[in-house]
Formats: sequence, structure tokens, C-alpha cells
Amino acid sequence: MIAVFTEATVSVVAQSSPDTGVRSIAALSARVAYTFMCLTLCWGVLTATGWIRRLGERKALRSGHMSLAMLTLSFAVVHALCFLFLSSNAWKFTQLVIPLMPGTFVRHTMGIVALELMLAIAITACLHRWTAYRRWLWLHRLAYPAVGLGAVHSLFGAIANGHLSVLWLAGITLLVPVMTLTVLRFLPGRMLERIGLVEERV
Amino acid sequence: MSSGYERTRRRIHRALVLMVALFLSQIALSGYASAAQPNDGPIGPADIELLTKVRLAGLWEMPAGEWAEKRSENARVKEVGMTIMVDHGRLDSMTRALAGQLGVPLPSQPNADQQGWLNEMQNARTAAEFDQVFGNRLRAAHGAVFSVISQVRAGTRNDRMREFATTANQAVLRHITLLESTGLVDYTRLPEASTAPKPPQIVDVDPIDVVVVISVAMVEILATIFLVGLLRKPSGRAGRRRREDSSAHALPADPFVTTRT
Repeated sequence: MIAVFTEATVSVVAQSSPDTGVRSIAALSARVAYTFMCLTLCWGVLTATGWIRRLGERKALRSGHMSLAMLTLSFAVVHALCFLFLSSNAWKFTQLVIPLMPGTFVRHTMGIVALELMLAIAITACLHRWTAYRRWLWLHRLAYPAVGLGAVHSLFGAIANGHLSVLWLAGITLLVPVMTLTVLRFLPGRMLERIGLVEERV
Repeated sequence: MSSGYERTRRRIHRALVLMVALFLSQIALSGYASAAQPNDGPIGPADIELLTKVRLAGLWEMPAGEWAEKRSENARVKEVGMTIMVDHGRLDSMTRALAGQLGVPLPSQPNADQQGWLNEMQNARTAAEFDQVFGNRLRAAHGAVFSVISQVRAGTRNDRMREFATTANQAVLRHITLLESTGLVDYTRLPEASTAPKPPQIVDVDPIDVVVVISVAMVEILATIFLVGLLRKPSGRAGRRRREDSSAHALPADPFVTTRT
């Protein structure tokens, strides 16, 4: 979730506006959130499939996944809130929480939807004892499209702010394992067996 | 069970070999890329374009300047023609020297447009007509190359190209001023200044970047699969015991299959 700047304010940054500090925090928190987002999904898939069960108990692995998710959300929220504190072209709270508001772009909407989905998933993660497992699972699996939206939001943000040339390699490096694990996660068992990731037991 | 395990092991080994080969090819590729770049910094497509354009400009503006000095009846045009010819002579030798050092091939003939402009000058029936063609064609061409020079001057990563762009920028601006001083330039025929935004940088992807992305992605995909395979398989004596136990007691299938969520 790389910095969400409006086109008009990019030029203001270039002229080293008084918002340079806020924007730097927004950019940094976005990059850290992106990193934790990728790690959270990887760790979640590995925990759910049991592929890393030799590293520890399932409960400990789930705690690790939850810690990473909390870090992702914290940095993403910091990133979003930074835009309320700009001295010029500051965002309104409604623009920050309601998608497709006037004055925002589609890439902003993607980031807003991704963050809100992640928040919903985090809240319902604690409620799985009080709801049907299938229903909870359906909601939890929305994390995959949320991460996808977050990644596209980051890509468009980097392009709009002229940071793509600096960030593309790091961004792709973090995203490829996420995509690989997601694909593996939804591959049929037979295919995984053929790759050698699942053993046939007799 | 054991044959399945052997098969998996063989696959992992094969994946590992492929991964190492890809990694080594990636290192070789980046080594080649860095060896091809001089110490003054990498040169990009815009740098090559600038060297080519300045060379092409020299190839038609030097004869044009020489003709102006000989054919024009206007003293100012003669003077401007002479200055442009001398300046472009210097700039051209500088361009060829730098292109030689950077390994950039240069054209040896003016392009079709420039040849056409030279023909226009050659076919001018009167000295006044020649002056009109000379002033307007050269002014328009200088304006076109001026934007290329300024872009390279602003963004090149190569120190020598930056110096070259500074020199070329001064020379071209001087020529524009000189050509305008003849009073022959028709400003309405010049292309209007554009405020079109720069196309998104995503379309300016360098081919080497694509190779890097594909290599990194492939290495990472294989590394991810390899690591997953490695992590899920208990190693050593404990692992063997667990595998034996699981086959002996016919434990439930892999948690991945049973707890697939």
C-alpha cells in the first residue's frame, strides 16, 4: 500500500511542501504494510495447509499469523490516517472510509476496500466460535481478494508518484511467493501430489 | 510410500538444480549488464537517441550553413550560416568521440526528412527563397532537438552525457536565437508547445528489466515450492520414525487434505 497521493499534490511534494514529513510517514508506513501483508498471507496459507507444522504447534503458528495481520493493519491504518493531516488538499474522513467518493481515484478505492475487508476479517477472526465454520471461512477467504486489491493499489500508487522504478523489484519479490502459495493453496490435491507437496498415504 | 518419497526427492533435486542454474544465469546477466555500462553511469535509450539526433542534425545543418554562407544575399543569414556550420562541426566531432567511447553506432547519412529539406534549399530559385527555407527549416529542427536535449540533461544517469547535453543545450539555444535574429522565422508554422503529460513510466520498461522480473519470479516460485517441500517433510531420524509410524498406523491423510480451509 504505497502512498496514496492525489495528482495535484504530487507537484506540491516536489516543491518540498510543509507536508513532506507527513507524506514520508505515509510512504514508509505503506511500504511496511505491504511487506507485512505479503508475509501475513504466506504465513496464513502455510499454517492453514499444515505445511509448516514441523516449525511449531498449530496454535503458535496461528498466533504468528495474527501478529503479522495486526502489524499489517496497524501500518495500513497509519498510512490512511496520514492523509487527514495534510495541510493542503487534506482528505476528509468520509473520503477515507467510503469508496468512490468524489475527489478520489479508483486506485484509492481499491486501497480503501482492501483495508476495510482486512479489518472485517480481523474482527471476525475472533468471532469464529460464535458463528458457523463455513460462514466464517467464506469471510476469511476474502483476504485473498483484499491482498490482490492492496497489491494493485500499491502498484498504481507507485506509478502515480513516480516511485515504480525504485520499488518494482522489491514489490515483485514480495508478491511472487504470495501468488505462488495462493495458487498452490487452491490447486487440486492430485496435482499437489504430483508436484510432491502432498504424499499419498496407504 | 518409499517410491513416492524418492520421486519427490528427485523432483526437489531437479528443482534445486534448475533454481541454481537460473540464479547463476541471473548473476551472469547482471554481470554482463554492468560490464556493458561505463564507469560514468549507465546510458539509457534517451542518451542514445540524443547522440543520434545531434549527429543527424550535424549531417544536414553543416551543408545547410555552408550553402547559406555562399548562396544568401543577406549578410545576417551568411553570418548565421557560418556560425552554425562551425558550431555543428565542433559538436559533431564531440558527438562522434563520445558515441565511440560509449559504443553507440551513429548514422552517416541525413534521414529522409533532412534530405528533403536540403533538396528544398538546393532547389530554391532565388536567394530570398533560400533564406526563407533555411531560416524556417533550421529553426523548426532546432526546436525539435532542443526538447530531447533538455530531457537528457534533466534525467540522464551518465556523467559524460550530462556534460554533452549541457554543451549541446547551449549550442542549440544559441542557434535558435541566431536564426530568429534573421527575422525570417514564421512562428505560426512552428509546432505549438504541448502540455501533454509524460506517458506513464510503466510503458517505458527496459527489456533488461523484463528479463530480471521473469528470472526473479521463476527463482522465487521454485524457491517457494522447494521451501514448502522442505518445511513440510520432517528430516533426520525423527522424521524417518514419524514417516514409518504414519505408514504403520495408517494415520489420517495429510492435514492439508483433511483440514483444507
